[in-house]
Amino acid sequence: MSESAVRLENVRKKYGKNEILKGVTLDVHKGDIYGLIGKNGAGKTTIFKMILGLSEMNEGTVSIAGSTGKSELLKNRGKVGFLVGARFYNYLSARANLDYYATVKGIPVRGRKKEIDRVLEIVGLDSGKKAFRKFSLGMTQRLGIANAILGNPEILILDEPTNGLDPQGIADVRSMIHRFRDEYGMTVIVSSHILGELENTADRFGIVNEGIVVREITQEDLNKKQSIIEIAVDDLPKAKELLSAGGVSVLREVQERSTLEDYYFRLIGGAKE
Amino acid sequence: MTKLIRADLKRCIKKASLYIFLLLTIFVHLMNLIDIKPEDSLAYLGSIGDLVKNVSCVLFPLSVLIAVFGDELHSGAIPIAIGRGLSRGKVLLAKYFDCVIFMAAQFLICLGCILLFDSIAGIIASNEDNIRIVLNIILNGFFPACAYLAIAFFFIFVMWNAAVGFISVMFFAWVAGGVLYLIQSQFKIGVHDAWLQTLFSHSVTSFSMGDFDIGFIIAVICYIILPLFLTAIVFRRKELDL
Repeated sequence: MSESAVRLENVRKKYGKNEILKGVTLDVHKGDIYGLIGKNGAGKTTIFKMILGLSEMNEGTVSIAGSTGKSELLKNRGKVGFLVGARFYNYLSARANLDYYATVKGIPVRGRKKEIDRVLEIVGLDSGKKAFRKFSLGMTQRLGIANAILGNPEILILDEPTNGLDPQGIADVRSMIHRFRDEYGMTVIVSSHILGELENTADRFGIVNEGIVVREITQEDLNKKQSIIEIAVDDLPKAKELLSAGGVSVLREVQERSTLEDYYFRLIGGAKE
Repeated sequence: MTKLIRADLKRCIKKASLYIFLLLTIFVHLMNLIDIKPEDSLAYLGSIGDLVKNVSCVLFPLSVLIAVFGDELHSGAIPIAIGRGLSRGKVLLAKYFDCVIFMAAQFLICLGCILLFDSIAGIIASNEDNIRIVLNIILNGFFPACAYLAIAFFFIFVMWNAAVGFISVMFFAWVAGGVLYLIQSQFKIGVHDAWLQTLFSHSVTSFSMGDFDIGFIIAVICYIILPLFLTAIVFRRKELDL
């Protein structure tokens, strides 16, 4: 069994009466590029906030790099780099901002300049002398990624990293994510609502809807050939039971209210024009 | 925590507010010397106490809060530090120590300037007077300023708004004492006697006479440690956005 990099078990979060996370369980394995998919407000960012300790959960457990207790979780958060809404000190240059975070991260003075040069080169920002307030949205995202990978973290969390990027930038981020995993051995958790983009980036996916991970799928699942037939049934549980007994898995079911026309044609066996 | 303090000190040392407010305070102390004759040293000592209470005690905490928190909440640096494994309590203490370190430096420079001006003007002759000035700066200036900072931290971290913290410094330094004095004189409740300015001022007199003042310890616990402790409790549960 693969080693777990990030594991959430039955995590629940309420804001007042509004339950944002309704028992999220997910397990990201070491070396995964894990895509978190969901529409706006589905709970993706809240899941990240739980992992990072920015929001207190009402129920459940979070484990990072196999941590078992609270103090170990706190310690292991040091192994995580993240981009969740890139914001920086406006009056400082990109380089000075990175220098600040490199100091906080404890990167030794001697290797700091080299490390900042390295991350700036990876994300494709030039010397980094420009003040942050003059940055475009795309440059901000790139600087956010540079900050996230400072010090080569084991786990990288990227929330909507392609926001504000042009098509070239999106392609760059995709290749960067593969590079982070393949060259630097990072486990990457990336969220997006651009499904086509994520499909080309991640190898496992968690689909989040209304505060719950409704399904986890892999690239192999996507590559599986599916035969789609449409069968109208009047007793869905029994139909599913029969299919299951026959070794056929139901991947998708659509329930529709029958119109009088549908009913009529089903009954008499004719066809709609 | 020390890494965060180091990074913050390096970031904030270039902030103009630290130097503008320091120069302004030194200028006010210099102006105070005009028309003072050597024989007026007692009145001069009193005026230093007043200036420290009403000017340095407000301008220094304000300037360090502006330097440290001016861009802090907007920058998302606190959530990033927490997301990278620093506990919330440590982040809070690191920010407080940033402010205290800058403020201590400001008070030290200010004290150096006052002693230098006095020796040039030939006003303060005795060692006792110099000790009284030092005690005034520490007990009427530095410690109350640390208390205003601690109270400001409560407002900043609870409301996540730096401006409220700046206003709280001015309110508690300039207004609160007067309001409590009015309440005490009207209702005969000793609220003004228990106020931080009164407690620290009283300890200047006690310490200069060589006596230990328990009021000093009470003031430190009630107005520095307690607000920080309450802030830490509230901040532990605060939802942080990135």
